Amino acid sequence: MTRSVYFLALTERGDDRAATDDRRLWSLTTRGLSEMIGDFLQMGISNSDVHTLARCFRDRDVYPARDFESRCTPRPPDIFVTYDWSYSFFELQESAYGGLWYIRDELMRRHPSIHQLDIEDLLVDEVTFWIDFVFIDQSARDVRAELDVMPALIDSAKLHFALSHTALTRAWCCYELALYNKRFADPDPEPGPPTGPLLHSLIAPMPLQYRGWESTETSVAEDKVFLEEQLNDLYPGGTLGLGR
Amino acid sequence: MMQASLIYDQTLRQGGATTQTGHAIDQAMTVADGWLRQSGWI
Repeated sequence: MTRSVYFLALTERGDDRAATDDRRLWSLTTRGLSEMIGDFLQMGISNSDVHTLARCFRDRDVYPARDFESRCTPRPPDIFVTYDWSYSFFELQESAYGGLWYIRDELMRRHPSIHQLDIEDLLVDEVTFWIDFVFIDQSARDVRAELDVMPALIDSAKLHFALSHTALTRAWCCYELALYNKRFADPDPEPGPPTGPLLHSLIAPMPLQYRGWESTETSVAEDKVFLEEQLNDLYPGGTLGLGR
Repeated sequence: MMQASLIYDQTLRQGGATTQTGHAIDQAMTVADGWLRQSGWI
């Protein structure tokens, strides 16, 4: 589909998010991701963890959102994806499908008159994700500055998937959870600890992996300090005391 | 440890253990119904 036709299709679908020229704010469908992974393999980039993939992109000056533009959608994502870079990009793709198929199964149960293939077409070809290694240029001089779109980006996403079972051991992942879930925080909470589950993210099975913020790790040590500052700005009095 | 992180810890511990059965599914299905509606299926 050409870009102009695609814009028309988005308009017909009633999409309420504007297209943007900033590739950091783009997204891609799971079909787009699968096709992009095919592109990687064709250019000799074999499956690896995402740390290795990012190094490969730096070595080859590859920026997927630029170099595989046709696989992408020039609008913010429906779903923001959090995962651990120790995952391979094959595993990430499978997990993304896993999350979508969870939604498919629920939709089929709730809307039995809609055919499974129609639901799958919608989820695979229209619902879009944001995945960092696609939309953040790993060759940028200051990768952290590239990430300054993160708050606006996550705020624009309608859903959040935390896909890898180790995500809660990584400080960046916890930070992304905090950003997404801020919209659901009670602005006038009762004193004391929370009385029920507060997270609205769809999280891969991983209870008990979280050992507290102190135990979360970053690959770059300075990032932990930066993220803690961001968290304290985000939740100035903690999640129970916003604005206090 | 700073105050915000401590309370944020509580949120993660509680939400992370039980989220799949509650708010997260409701949120996901509200959004997914919106996708069906936008595409004309419902």
